[in-house]
Amino acid sequence: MRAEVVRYWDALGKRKNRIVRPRPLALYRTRPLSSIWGADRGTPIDRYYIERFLDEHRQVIRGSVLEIKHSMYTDRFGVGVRERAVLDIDASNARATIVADLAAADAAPTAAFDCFILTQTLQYVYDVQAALRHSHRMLRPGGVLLCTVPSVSGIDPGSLENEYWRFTRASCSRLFEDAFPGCDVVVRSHGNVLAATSFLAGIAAEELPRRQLDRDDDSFPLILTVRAEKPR
Amino acid sequence: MRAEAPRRDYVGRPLARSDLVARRARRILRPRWLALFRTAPLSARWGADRGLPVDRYYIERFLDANRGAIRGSVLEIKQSLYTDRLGVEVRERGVLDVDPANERATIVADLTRADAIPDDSFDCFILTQTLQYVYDVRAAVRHAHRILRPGGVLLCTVPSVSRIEPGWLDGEFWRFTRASCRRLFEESFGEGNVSVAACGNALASIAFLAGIAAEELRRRQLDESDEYFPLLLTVRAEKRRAA
Repeated sequence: MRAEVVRYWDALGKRKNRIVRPRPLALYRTRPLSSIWGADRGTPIDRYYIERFLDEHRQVIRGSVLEIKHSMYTDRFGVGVRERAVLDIDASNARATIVADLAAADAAPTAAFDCFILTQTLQYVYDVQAALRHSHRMLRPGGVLLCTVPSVSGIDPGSLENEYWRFTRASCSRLFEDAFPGCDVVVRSHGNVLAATSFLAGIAAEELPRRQLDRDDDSFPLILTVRAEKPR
Repeated sequence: MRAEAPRRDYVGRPLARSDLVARRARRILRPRWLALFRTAPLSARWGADRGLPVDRYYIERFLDANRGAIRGSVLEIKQSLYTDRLGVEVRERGVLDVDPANERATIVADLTRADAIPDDSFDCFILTQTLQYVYDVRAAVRHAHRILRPGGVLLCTVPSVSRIEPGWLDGEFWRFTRASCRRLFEESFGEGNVSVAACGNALASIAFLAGIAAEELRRRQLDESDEYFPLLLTVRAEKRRAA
């Protein structure tokens, strides 16, 4: 009962935000309609694509799975997960089973995971190449890295000094070619100009028709997803 | 009757009256608000067919504010557009391009492997919207530092938000932030010699992606800068004189 009430209030609050600050305002204000990527209006658009990607790859989220900061997507999309590991650079994270900087993760075990879910993290790592080398090292033969990176996004509040990169299909291809030699790497660009401008404006996924969200335009990536499989 | 000031587009080509009419027609036929409903941009050329691309507004503003540094021996990429337009007391113009077919190029080299260019060669290096096409950005910045004379200035701009250039799907690598610019340039130029500024805000970025031109926004909207929503970053880096 209580959960229902909370959910109801939450939905009402989101609807209110959409009514008080309607979409067209985005073309007249220099500030976005939401300061948290539209999460106060509905689902942030990047999450729509991230979840679509992970949903399509459910079958590889199995065995021993590593995720960053928490095991949210492992819990949600995993099938046959035997072991959950959480990596964080922040030692105060009680959920972290491995405390390490991904770019210098020598303490993390080698060939230990069947799947590594690395969503929206590499933009905070200055030395992306090193982070990917460690990601490759931590995977078992036959293990899969499921990675997403932003191409268009506002800077995370509080990360002005440590949010470094936005990526493109070309950089993803090159980075993974270097760090995952001989692996099966698939890079895909998600989103289009409407999704990208809406995301910047703080408009939520629910405010756009599904068919508009699902039209991918390589010239206007919002996020890029990479599936990299280490050969057996 | 008032004489009309010569009007040029951002690459310096003169604009005929018919061009101006065509731009206005495009703005009327595809009004701004259409951007809320279309999954294709209003312009396929960053708004250049409607007016001045929004990023050019910031690039020109930055270079204009740093005119004083564009002097002596100046290096620019691809053409000497900004050297000619904004330079003061330019003694020598160098044009660097990776493409040997460019007739204007005085130096043909890849900036990441520009060992052929001698050290301490230039007083100013204008490097606008180029580093996104360079995979090994750190090497490029090292060379930029190396070829500047002591006391020389690098004026650099990089995108933080932009569409991918048509035809460059496999050659356009990066979008930057203030944090990456600071780290990248301080690695070569040293702390205290680099100033990074974020230009633009959410509206400017949205307009730029959608292909809306600078003229379609108000000056005060363009001039508001929001660190959390940079459209591009400008970097002024000075090569320290030997003590």
